[in-house]
Amino acid sequence: MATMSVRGLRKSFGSTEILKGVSLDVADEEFVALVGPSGCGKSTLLRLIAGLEEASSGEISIAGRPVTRLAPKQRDVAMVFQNYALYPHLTVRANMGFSLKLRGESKAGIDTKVNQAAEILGLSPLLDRYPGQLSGGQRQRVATGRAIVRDPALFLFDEPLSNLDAKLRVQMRTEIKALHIRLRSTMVYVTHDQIEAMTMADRIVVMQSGKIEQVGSPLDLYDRPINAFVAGFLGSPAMNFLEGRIDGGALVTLDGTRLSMPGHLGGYQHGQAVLWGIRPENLALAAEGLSARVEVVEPTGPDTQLLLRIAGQPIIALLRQRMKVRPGELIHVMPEPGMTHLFDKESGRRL
Amino acid sequence: MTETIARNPLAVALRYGALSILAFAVVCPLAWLALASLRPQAEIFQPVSEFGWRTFVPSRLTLDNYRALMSGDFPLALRNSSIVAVTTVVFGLVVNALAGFAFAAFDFRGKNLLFLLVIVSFMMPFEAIVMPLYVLISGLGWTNSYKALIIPEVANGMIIFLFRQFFASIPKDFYEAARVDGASWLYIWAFIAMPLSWPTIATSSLMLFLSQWDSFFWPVVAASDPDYAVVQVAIARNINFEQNDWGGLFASTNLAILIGMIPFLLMQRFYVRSLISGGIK
Repeated sequence: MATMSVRGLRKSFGSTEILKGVSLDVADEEFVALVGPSGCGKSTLLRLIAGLEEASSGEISIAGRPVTRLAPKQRDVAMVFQNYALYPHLTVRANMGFSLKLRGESKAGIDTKVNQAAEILGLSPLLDRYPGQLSGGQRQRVATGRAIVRDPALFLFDEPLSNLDAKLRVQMRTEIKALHIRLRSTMVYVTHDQIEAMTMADRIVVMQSGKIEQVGSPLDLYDRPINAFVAGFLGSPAMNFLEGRIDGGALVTLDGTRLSMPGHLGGYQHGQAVLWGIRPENLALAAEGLSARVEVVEPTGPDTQLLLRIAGQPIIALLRQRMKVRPGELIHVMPEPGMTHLFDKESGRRL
Repeated sequence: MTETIARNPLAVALRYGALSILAFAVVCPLAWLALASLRPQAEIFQPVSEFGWRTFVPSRLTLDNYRALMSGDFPLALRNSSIVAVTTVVFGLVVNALAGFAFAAFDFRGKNLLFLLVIVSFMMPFEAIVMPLYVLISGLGWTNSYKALIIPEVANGMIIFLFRQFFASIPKDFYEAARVDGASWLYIWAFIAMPLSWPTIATSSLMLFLSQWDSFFWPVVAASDPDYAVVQVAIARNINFEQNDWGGLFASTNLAILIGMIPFLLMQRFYVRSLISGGIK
């Protein structure tokens, strides 16, 4: 296992710059998730690390060894693809042993390693089947197994769970996480699913438009997002934003409503255009506070999700209780102290 | 389907009637050819003037025409054609599949223009390039040799096109996974791409084989020496200014058809099997 580092990495396809100078360090045995909306460059970054694309500029090193100009096979990385890329004409055993055979290992050596990996992943009874005879979850395991047998310096995952149904995805999520702990390996995992990133990763890298927005532990990013983009990207349902101006200790929203927020807005520049953010679960019912009109009530069992309208803007509240409110009612909600976020309207930067 | 048939016997009768007439029209000349080759020389055209059952059924069956054929130059022509066709298939598959793979997997300068030329190459009638090709072959001193018959036919734009289309349809992930696993491009071509392309290999082999088996014009031009006569040339030699050996013509045509069918029957099995395995996936 090994560290991985990327320095000032840029990649252009024609005149379009996909990566605009990305630097990142991954520690030994760390699980790092790259997240971001489609087109943010996360998959391109992974493919550059794998050597499937050539960097326009910048440096990549794996285990302290510069690999920027090396072919994929010389980088000692294993990659799990979104479509699994299992060779349909080869059995599960041959698929998993493919890289070892290329490396020229003995038949006995290959068998031992394949059996070992199959054991870990519960694939032993399926070794002589063809990919076409496997279910989606089994194929995913074989793809992971093909990476494991190589015992690489670095594992790369490119949205490996996105072709599975929701239930299986949750199960495989746990399996990959358990695998990471068991193998004590370094993994870089690309996903567009922020729940996957939150639950699996030691650290999350949030990307947008070819740049890294923020790097940190899942809860760090969740609690202290560096800008409005990261704040809105992590969390489901997403963070609520109210647009307005600061006026003393109050927020004056676009429609002129004055929301007084004692203790929340002290010390900021008067008149500054801001985005005031609050996560749905940080709003609580109160006797007084922000007055809100209930628009939709969605009970999920343990929680109730309310779509509210506050000062003309839609706000979602997630309450850990069952409620007997009806659409159209007027209620009051109060933000949990210390759990609000304030961002500059122009730059999106955290204030 | 069966229900429709049960419901309307008249439509069925009409349909089968029409199909039978079509089948007769197609099969009739071939059947006549086959049977005529088994008649004594003198009898071949005798019953034609009065069309009737005697037109098809010979009064006497004989293998004389075939015996005469086998004692002459025809076995050599069969041998020549087989060598030329099989060699073309073997080299043609490798060369054209590699070219198709390059077009499908790589990005290189001038790729689109080159591919356009490939397409133009099989749109162009062969007659248009016979003269320059002959000048080239003769300049290389290759006339009257297997080289002259085989090499110009190995690279085939149509087959490159078929392979490119197939390889382009294989998800790129396969190639990339293999590259990360440490495979060279040549290895990927031979052990990932080719094993997946049985239908294309079967089709291409047949096309290459039949184009050589049926070729007449180029062999006449490039290898006129009787030692290098191929099947179609040998067939044509039965008819000349001095005499017409109709029995020999029919017998040799028959043999050419029958032997030409062998690879088709062999390949058909592969073709059907690969279609089935693709369906399961």
